[in-house]
Amino acid sequence: MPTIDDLPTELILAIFAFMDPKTMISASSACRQWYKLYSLPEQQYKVAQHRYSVADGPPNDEWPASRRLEALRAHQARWRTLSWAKSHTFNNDTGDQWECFSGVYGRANRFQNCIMFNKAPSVVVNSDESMWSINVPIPIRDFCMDSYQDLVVVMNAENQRSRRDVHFLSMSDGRPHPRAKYPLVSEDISSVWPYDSGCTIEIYGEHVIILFRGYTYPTTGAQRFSSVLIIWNWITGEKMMRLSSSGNNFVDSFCFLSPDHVLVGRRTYPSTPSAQSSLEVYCFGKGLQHINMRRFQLPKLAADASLNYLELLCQAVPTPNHHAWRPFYTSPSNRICMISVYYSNEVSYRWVNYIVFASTFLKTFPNEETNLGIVDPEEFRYISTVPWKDWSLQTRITSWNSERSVYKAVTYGTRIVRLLPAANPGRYRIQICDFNPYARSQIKDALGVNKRETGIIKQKKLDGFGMDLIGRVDEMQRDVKQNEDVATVNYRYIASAPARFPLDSIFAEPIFSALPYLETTTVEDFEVRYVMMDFENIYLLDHDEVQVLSL
Amino acid sequence: MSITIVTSDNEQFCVEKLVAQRIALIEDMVENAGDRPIPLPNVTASVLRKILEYCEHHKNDPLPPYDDGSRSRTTHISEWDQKFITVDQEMLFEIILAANYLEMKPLLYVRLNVPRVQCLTACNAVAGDIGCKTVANMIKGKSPEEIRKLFNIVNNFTPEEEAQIRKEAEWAEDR
Repeated sequence: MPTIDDLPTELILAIFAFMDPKTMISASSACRQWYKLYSLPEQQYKVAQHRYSVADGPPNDEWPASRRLEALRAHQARWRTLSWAKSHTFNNDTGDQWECFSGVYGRANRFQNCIMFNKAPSVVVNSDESMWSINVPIPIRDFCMDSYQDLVVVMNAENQRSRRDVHFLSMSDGRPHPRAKYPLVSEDISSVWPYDSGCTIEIYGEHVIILFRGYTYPTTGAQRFSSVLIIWNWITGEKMMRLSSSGNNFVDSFCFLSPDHVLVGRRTYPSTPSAQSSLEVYCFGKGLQHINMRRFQLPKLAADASLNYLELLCQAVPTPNHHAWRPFYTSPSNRICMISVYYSNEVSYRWVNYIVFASTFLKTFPNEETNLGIVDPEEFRYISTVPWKDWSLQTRITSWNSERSVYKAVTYGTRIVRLLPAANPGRYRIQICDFNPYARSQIKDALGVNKRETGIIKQKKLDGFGMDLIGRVDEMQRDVKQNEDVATVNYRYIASAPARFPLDSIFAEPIFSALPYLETTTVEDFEVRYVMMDFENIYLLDHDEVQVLSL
Repeated sequence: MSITIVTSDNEQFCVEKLVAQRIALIEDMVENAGDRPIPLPNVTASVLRKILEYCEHHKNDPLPPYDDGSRSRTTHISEWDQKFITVDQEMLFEIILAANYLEMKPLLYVRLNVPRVQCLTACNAVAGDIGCKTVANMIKGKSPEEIRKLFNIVNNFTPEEEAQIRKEAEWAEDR
């Protein structure tokens, strides 16, 4: 009778192909023969994809698993050691609207009809630098792009009427996008007009979200913030959802959680201590009749504290395709979402960042209350509520002192990049926090933070749930690499021990924080006013140029 | 039209051609055999009975699309297949080995002249696929020690090697 030992190697490999990476690791530890098979590039590449939160790219004869594995390891090593492979400078003197997407930097001037693109050379696929520009049929108010789909979404600048036109154009020639059934959609935004104060556009797969912001004066002297969020399928032209302000409660910010889910931050203006600000997740992919909403509560505040600002960051990742080939991509399933909130009361104020994997908002919670009876002003079918205590365990909280750090922090995949002024004027510290558990454990290893200490931190987290807040920061620091050309690199692992803090009057519920990061300091004097990041590059924007740090 | 197959233990099976066509090796042999019975010296009657049961059930299935390796591998097994493959371990490995020997991959790939190795690793035999999926599912969630016990595998690592491997695997338990 045959046993598993009688199966030829090719069949054991076929079995390996059906295992998830974790199972594969377990199986590799069973015996030598299996370990040998597990050590082959095909299996190692699969495990590496999982460890580094990347998705495999489309097949390509020139890129077998061994080459992809090598490129992925090199790419990750560059991130881990912050060794800039190359640094480029783009001209930025004509841009007041800018975007980056997977190595392409786009800029435009408001009220003009031109968008300029610079493509940074890619280290991973070894491509060259290029630049081009397109003319668009309307004066630009704002735009957003997706180079993988060759799509640029442009909204017109218009002062005379309340209607806004949104064009779906080809990024390469500025013509109507060939895949868009209706390359022009139009929307009446009279609820935020005439005091239009800008918009935000995001693209993820087939969907485009635009948040129009403005304010109105319902009575003399009273100002009311207002906003409208609209989602389209840019290929079919179908409008998927429209969300507007209700009373003083308006949509302040949003981000895509998946191609079919949006996270919306609502806040109340004017802010009062009792005002209910919340996070809402809408599943809109099945069309207008099937939208459901889940509300995620933020921690309760002390009676006199209020929430004054809310920004959500979670960058959409490109969908793999042949148009812009890469051996691997940022995994869409493992992305970090950062919610930055500004709290204040009469005596103090604080910026707090809630950092959570986007998947947390999509999974179910045992204590989730579903209220089918509630009729939402927009008539969504199902509304449920997740209390803060349920999702707080999966949330990492940081307080970056009083700096308005949200303007200089970005997320991409499992990483957050944050820019801080260094001690010398004109220099900056760039901090990269990677929330991928494997990358983090590698940093900890490099610092010699052993398992026992990590255990204590976890223990404290649970014990500390009594009343403690963001607290003292314990730093462990080691200079690992000196690269005087561009920057000095420090590895740091920062874990905060729960401790009482003088500003803790803000919250009525306990929260906890810890943040590991890598840090580098720029050595050139360069006035950075904005930072952006994509899969391979970090963009530091000055008034008239952009420094691209390619990894 | 039917074909006669003789197994290693000398049992004769009369099989409908449409059913036998799901088996590449038989399809190849039919042309040379003429009216003579087709011998399968590596397959016993009990295993062939199972294989034919599978072919009979799937005889009208369309050929699966060409697998270029980009398709994500699902470990899902349909209800009928699941019932079919609920057998003891010996029979499971018999089926996997027999499906491999019989090259039960869709005929399309044979005609496309895809090299043998590529067929086995990329497309796989249909019945073999289910068998391999089943083995993978059996391993899922188990510790190395449990896997060894399950399949009677001898641990042939030295203690030093084992310590090293455990260290490499540690992160997996962390998550």
